[in-house]
Order: sequence, then C-alpha cells, then structure tokens
Amino acid sequence: MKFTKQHDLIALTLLFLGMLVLWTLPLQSSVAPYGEVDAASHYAIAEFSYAQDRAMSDLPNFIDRRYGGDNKYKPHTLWYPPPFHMGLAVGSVVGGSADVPIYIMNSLFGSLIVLSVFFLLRRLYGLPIAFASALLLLFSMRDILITIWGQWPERMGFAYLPLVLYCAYLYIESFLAREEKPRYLVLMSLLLAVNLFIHPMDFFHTLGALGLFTIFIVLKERKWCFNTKHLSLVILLFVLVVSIFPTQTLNVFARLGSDSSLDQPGKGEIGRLFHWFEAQDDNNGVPASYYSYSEMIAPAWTMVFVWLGVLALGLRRNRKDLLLLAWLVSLYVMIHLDFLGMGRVHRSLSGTAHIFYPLMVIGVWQLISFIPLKRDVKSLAKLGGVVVFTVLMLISIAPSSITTLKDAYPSISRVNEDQITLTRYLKASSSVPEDATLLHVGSISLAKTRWIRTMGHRYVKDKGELSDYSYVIFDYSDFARIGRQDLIDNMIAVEQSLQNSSSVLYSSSNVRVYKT
Amino acid sequence: MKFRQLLLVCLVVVALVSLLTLGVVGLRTVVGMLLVLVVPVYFILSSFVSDDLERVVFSLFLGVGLVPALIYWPATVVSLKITVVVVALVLVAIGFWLKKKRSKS
Repeated sequence: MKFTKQHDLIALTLLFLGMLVLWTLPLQSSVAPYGEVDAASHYAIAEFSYAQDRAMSDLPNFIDRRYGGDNKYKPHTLWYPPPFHMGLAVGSVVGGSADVPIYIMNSLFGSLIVLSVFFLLRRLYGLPIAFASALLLLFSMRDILITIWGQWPERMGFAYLPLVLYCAYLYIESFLAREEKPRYLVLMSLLLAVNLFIHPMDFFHTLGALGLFTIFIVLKERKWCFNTKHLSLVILLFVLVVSIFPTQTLNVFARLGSDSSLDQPGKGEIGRLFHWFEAQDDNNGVPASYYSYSEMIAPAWTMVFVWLGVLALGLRRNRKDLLLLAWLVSLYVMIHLDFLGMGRVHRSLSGTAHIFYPLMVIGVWQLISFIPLKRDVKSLAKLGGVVVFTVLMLISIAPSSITTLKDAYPSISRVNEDQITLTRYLKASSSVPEDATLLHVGSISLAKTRWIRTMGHRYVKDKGELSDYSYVIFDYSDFARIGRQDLIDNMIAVEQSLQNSSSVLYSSSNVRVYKT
Repeated sequence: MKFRQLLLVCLVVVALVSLLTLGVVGLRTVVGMLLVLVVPVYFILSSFVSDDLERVVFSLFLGVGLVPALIYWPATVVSLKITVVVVALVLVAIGFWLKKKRSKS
C-alpha cells in the first residue's frame, strides 16, 4: 500500500489531537494546579514571569530560598536555561491567564515525544510502524507518571533525541551518496542546542545516541561520514546558540564537576551490567511499580517482540537499523552509569518506552515477514499483524493510562478554594513582606505547602517550631475536608496559645494568618 | 487535496477540538501557541526545507524551543506581552523577506 504525505499529515494531526485530549485529562477534571514539588518549582518560574510581565533573571525570594544554590555557576539565578519556562509563560500570555494555559502547554510539551518518534520512524520504516509506535507511546504509563509528578523539562527534552537522529541519518545518507545536504547538519545543531536548553540529561542521552550511530556507520562503511568543514561550522553554530544563556549553560558543567553521587554503592559491580536496572539508595519516593516493565511499558509477553525487534535490526544492520540500535545501546549505557558510580540513572529509565514500542512493532512486522506468503499477501499480512498487535496492546495499556490521567491528584491532593484565596491574599499583601518566612500549620503534605508558596509568592515552610517564625498560617481547610476533628482540636489549642501575643493579618472560615 | 489546504483543515480541526475539550482558554492557548511560536518559524523554514512534513515538524520543535529563547532577553527589560508579539512579527517578516529574496534569485 502506498502512503502519501497527506496520509502522514493526517496521522500527525490525529496524534497531536490524542496528546491534546488525553494528556490534558488531569486538567479537565479540575483546573487547580497539581503535581509534586518539582511541578511547583517549574510552575513558579512561568507563573511569576507572567504575573510580573517580565522574564526573571535573578530569583525572587520565595524561589531563591529553595533553589538559589541550584545554579552552581551563578547562584541566585535561573538554574535551567529559560526557554522551557518561557514557553510556558508564552502560553499564559496568549491564553490570558496563568494556571490552565501553563498546564495545557506542559501537556503538549511533555507528549512531544509521540510526534518525534512518529516522524523518525515514518522516514525509516514507513507509516504503519511509525503510527503504531507513536500511538502506543501516547499511553506510555512511565511518561504519563513523570509528567503529572512534575519532571516537566525532562519529559520535553527526550522529544529532541529522535529528531537529532533523523537529521544525522539524512545527512549521513546524503554524504555517503555524494549528494551532501548540509541543511540537516544545521537543523541538527539547532535541535541539539534546544535539547541542551530544555534538559541537560536528555542532551547527554542524545549525544550518546548520536556518537554511537556515528561509530556504527564508520565501522560499517569503513570511512568518515561527515564533511569536516561543515561539521566544524555547525559545532560553532551550536556553541554560539548555547552561549545565549551562559550562566545556565556553564551551570551544566559546574554541576558535572560537583557530582556528589560518584561514590554510589554498586560501583564497579560486574553483575550490574547484566541487569537492566537496579534501584539505588537515593530513589526514595519513587514507587516500586516505576521499576516494573509490566506496569510501566506493557505486559511481560511483549518482551518477546522487543527482542525480536532487536534481533531483526542486529541481523539486517542497514543504516536505519544501526540508528535504532545506537539509540538502544546509548540508553543501556545511560541506565548503567551507576556502574561507573555516576548519574541518577533511574531518571534515564524514563526514556525506555520511546525505543521499546518501536522495537516491538518492528518485531511483529519482521516476524510476519518470515512467513512464506506471496508478496502482495505478505504486505497486507504485515499491516494486519501490526494492526492486531496495536489493538491488543491498546486494550491492555490504554485503560490504566486513561484512569491514571483522569484521576490524577484527586480533590484533597490539590490546593483547595480556601488555600487559593489565601494565596491571592499573600501575593497582594503589603503586611506580609516579600522576604518573610511563614510557617504553614495544618499542612497535609510538603507538596501542598509548596503550592501555597508558589501561588502566594511567599516563602512558606511546612515544618518547624512556632517560636522561630514571625508569620504563621493556621490552615484548617484540609483537615476539615477529610473530617479529622482530632487534628483540628490540636491546632485550635496551639492557635489559642498564640492569640494573646499575635495580631491577625488575614482571616477566613478555615484559614488565619498571624504576625507573632 | 493539496498539502497546504489539508494543513489548514488540520489546524481548524485542532482549534475546534481545543475549544470543545478545554474551552475558550484552551482554544486561545493552543492556537496562540501555534501562531506565536510555530507559524513564524514555518515561514522561515519555507525557504530552506522543501519537504512539507519536515517543515511542519521542524517548525513545531524549533518554534517551541528557540522562539522562547529569543523572547527571554528582551522580556527582562520590557513587557513580556509586548515582546511576544514583537518577536513573532519580526520572525514572520524575516520569513517573508527570505522568501522574497529566494524567489528573486
């Protein structure tokens, strides 16, 4: 069956609509912000820029007190290059408000990998394999979880890897055919720069895949595969682009130099190389299911197809096959950096679905090609096989992914109406100075307090001694909603002990703010 | 149907779905993002990239990554809202200028 570029565009649009409808499900059930502490930090940068109508260079107090040291090269400035958060803020500008547009933008940014995997595979293996792989990726539980938890830039950064490989592949193909197309090198250079802007870890993933692909091609073709002059020029272009944000770019290298995880247990253990992954001591807070193939990727039986895919690529070893193998091997290397005592390798696990789904689909395609059939019948059988496999996969993975998105951060885990009103007061208040530190009494989680801090533009902490704080928030709203009268009574007793020596700055039915 | 006509139809469908699922704010955000971040880069790439789908995909990925980078520094000194509009217009103008220059040569 012959597919045209119009078919490609329709497929791309369908995937984009899938991203838009599916990945915004948490927003469709409630418009209150959600996510863990990382989500609050990313939201804070975008929302503050929108609220001030200015891009921030130095961090405001409520962000600086927690993240002021995260830029090792120049403390108290943005620790990530600005484009990701600026993109969210642009969403707010065009959307006309902060909260909903930031989440819509992030849902699209976080699922961009669906489009880039489609785009690469369409060129390498045609529309059916590309569409099936991307469709499965739309429901990737690990990608969904990481996005709703809050590792926002990391999600988006991975989307650039397939595009960089696409450019490298087309350039090398043209170079080896003596019809050099340097525009692909220019595009690759710009995409690599954006990749570094969005998330440094993902940039190193991309660099690893690109390096291995080059090595594989050089070994296969027994000759160099780049025009050295053009390569030098695009490296210069890359350096020029990344130097737009010198303090953040240099922070990447400053952080590499100060990596405190170099003496991790497990360093140098040969056995580690024969396991896909082993949880580390610093993986606290990550649920055990995150490390499970069957709960994050697909049912265990699908591993057969992953291996079939790898086998097919390994036996055939065309240039396009080497490209996917390079991606897979580079992912293996990144996930096994703990063997060298380096990295936070559990974060690299989040790149697995991006290559596993295509391998599965290629495995199915290849398996059917071994069946002795007439040529016309075989191409239909391969298409039918991919369709059946995709439907079976969707039946097994889609329901849980949809439920996870639909039920993400139900009522009590998001800031409630009382707290939203409190944050509006804090943000506009002249009686609570911008450099004040507030104690949040009645916090049900660290993330909840962080959201109040982020939305109120004041430094609010969830734990501490009352006597150490000049400003105290008594927040009964969550305990009232979950019916914990015992905790409310305890808080009332503490609040009464404070009343004689303090003045009330803010009072609503469930929340009061005191100046002690 | 020609590719460009189909592209317009696809954009209208995206706008409609944004409105139906996310309301007016959703429509404004998605269409606004495409207009401000993606379309200007699409015009610029029109002069360099001949493959239709490549042009669409690269303008999306470069648009969401590079245009905010261009917005950042001016927006540290002047209004973010104004900067967004000015940068988008300047990029569209560059795109048309490049196209005109190419068609002359």
